[in-house]
Amino acid sequence: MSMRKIFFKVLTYLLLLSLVAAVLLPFYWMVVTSLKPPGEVNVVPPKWIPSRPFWQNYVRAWHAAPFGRYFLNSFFISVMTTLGEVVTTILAAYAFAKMDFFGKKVLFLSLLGLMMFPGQLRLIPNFMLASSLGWTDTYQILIIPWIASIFGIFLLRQYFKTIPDELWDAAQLDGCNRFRFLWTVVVPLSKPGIITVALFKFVGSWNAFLWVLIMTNKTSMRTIPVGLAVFRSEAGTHFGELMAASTMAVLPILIIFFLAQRQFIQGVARSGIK
Amino acid sequence: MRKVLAFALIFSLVIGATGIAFAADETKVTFWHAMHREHKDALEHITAAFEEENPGIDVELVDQGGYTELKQKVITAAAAGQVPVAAQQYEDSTIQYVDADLMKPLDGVVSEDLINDIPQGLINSGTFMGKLYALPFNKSAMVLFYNTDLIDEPPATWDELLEISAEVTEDTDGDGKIDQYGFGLRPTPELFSLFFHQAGGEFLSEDKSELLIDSEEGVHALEYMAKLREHSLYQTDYLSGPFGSGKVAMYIGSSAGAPYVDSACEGNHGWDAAPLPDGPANGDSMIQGTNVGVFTVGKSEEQVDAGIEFIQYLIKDKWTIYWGKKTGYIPVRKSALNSEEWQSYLEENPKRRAMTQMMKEGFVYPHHLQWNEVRNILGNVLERTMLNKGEPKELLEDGAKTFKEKTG
Repeated sequence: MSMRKIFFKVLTYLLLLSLVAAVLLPFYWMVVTSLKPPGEVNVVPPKWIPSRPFWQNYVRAWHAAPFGRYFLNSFFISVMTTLGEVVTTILAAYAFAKMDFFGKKVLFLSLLGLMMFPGQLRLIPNFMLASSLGWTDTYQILIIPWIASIFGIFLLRQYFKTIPDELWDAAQLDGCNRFRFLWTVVVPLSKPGIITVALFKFVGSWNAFLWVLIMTNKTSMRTIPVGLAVFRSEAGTHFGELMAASTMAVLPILIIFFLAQRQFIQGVARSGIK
Repeated sequence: MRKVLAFALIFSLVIGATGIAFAADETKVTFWHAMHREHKDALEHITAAFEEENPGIDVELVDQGGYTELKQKVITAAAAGQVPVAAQQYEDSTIQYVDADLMKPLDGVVSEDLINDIPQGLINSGTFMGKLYALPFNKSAMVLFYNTDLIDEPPATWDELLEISAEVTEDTDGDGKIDQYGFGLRPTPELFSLFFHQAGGEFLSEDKSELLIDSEEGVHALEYMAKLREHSLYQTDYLSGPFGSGKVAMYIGSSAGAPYVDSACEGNHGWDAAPLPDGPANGDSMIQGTNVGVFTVGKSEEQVDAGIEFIQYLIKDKWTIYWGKKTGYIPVRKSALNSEEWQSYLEENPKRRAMTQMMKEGFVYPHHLQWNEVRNILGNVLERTMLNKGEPKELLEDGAKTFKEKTG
């Protein structure tokens, strides 16, 4: 029996370890390639460790485009869209999950229906709208259209639904209004869900490419993913430098993920539903 | 509650605080490009010189990422009437812009002297439905890259290419697997087209309604490539990497790849570029790279004129030579190619010699509104042949039939 248990435990860990390896390998490859001198990038068999760390890739990559500005823009836009979306999503999800109003079902279904339209289809109308508003090349156009997300609303609605209605009944007895109940009871109880929504948004904004490219012309409005195009050309790719820039681009996301992960676990521990 | 309100206020203030401002007392020429790094630096340098000589014109260079994104952006912007004054473009983009009536014809606007000074292949590249719409800018030609540590004399004919490829292909460590291939074959529509053209093939019938790849020449080219494949590393990615590491001894690629080849070979082995081996009909090279053209949608006459000035300025002798020296591209004017300055540059940089020669003997694809479809067909036929999915003749006939179906 216990032998069997050990066997299964070992098996589980092996499986998990191989999954971890599968996830980490591309990261490892990115970092290692970013440290290789140009002649070693494509050698066969592949070099797992560079003969000497070639830091020059980082210096060259940094100077290949105004990455300082790109980082600043990416960070600002990601933070703003994330904050904005969290607020709008919480409000909408609460209404859909806990309140009764006329046309609720139809409204919710039509929102879900809107998700079926692919983004490319909306690109030209969106661009025309943006340009008639005079919003091209501004932060508005990079932020405001992204502060609502149907996916986020759907996710949080499901989350809020798991919160028992008895809590609302009890709060009402104590003289609590809807708004206060939402911010002091529902939101703290739903931290993991909210953090998930925020993480999705932050990563999505950080990686956004096409929208930024179409809506902006000024270098001062561009973001990191647009900057990464510098390393590709019709005749080849500067892999060492591209990987150096990618490593730098991924770093903030990793840091935020680790920070959020702690929050995430705390959120689960605190949820208080018995 | 108050916190939330304060937050909402700050949020809207921060977003609202960013505005736009325009100032327009000069003629503004926006130029959309996909040039980066050294290329971008060189373009900025030429542009600065242009602005200095033309005080009334302000050129705004806008980097739009890669060529695919650039085209996508032009098409999106055209819907809102917000195209730039001028932009870099491949032929298959130009033909779509021309079809949508977005572009300014250059006949009669650009001087005859200039047109006569541009190699015919490059003029063909910018001519659509009998009219010139685009001037060449960043142009390269296909050359044969070879490893000078393994090959003393590069092949001069198709037969020699096959022979040398076979000789050099080797299992160097004796483990039963080949470690060094004579040739590197990347199955692009352009590579097939090159062999097809050199075999004497014509792409389209006179009325452009038929794709003539199933001709004798087409079969000859494809059968030859299948033979070459036996001594080749076959891969869909750029070949400068495996070439640099010594896995591939020769490959045919754009001269614009020279800087990548150079950095991939660094510390591994020597390299050079040779003119393409002669085929049964000719030894022509395929010209690649983009042209520049001027848009008219939503533009004032002054802007269009200034745009035309600018794209001509980019290829003044002085600047097309400067461009050639600073990038992997080749000057686009006969006078520049034959100039003392470029010739003495070639003395110092003999690797660029073959590239210069190939530029003069270059051809481009014929123009067809659905050329993208044709490229897909060509690539597909080549790939299926290379993977032994059928006989060359049948596959080519299939391809010609597909063209009929898709365009008919």
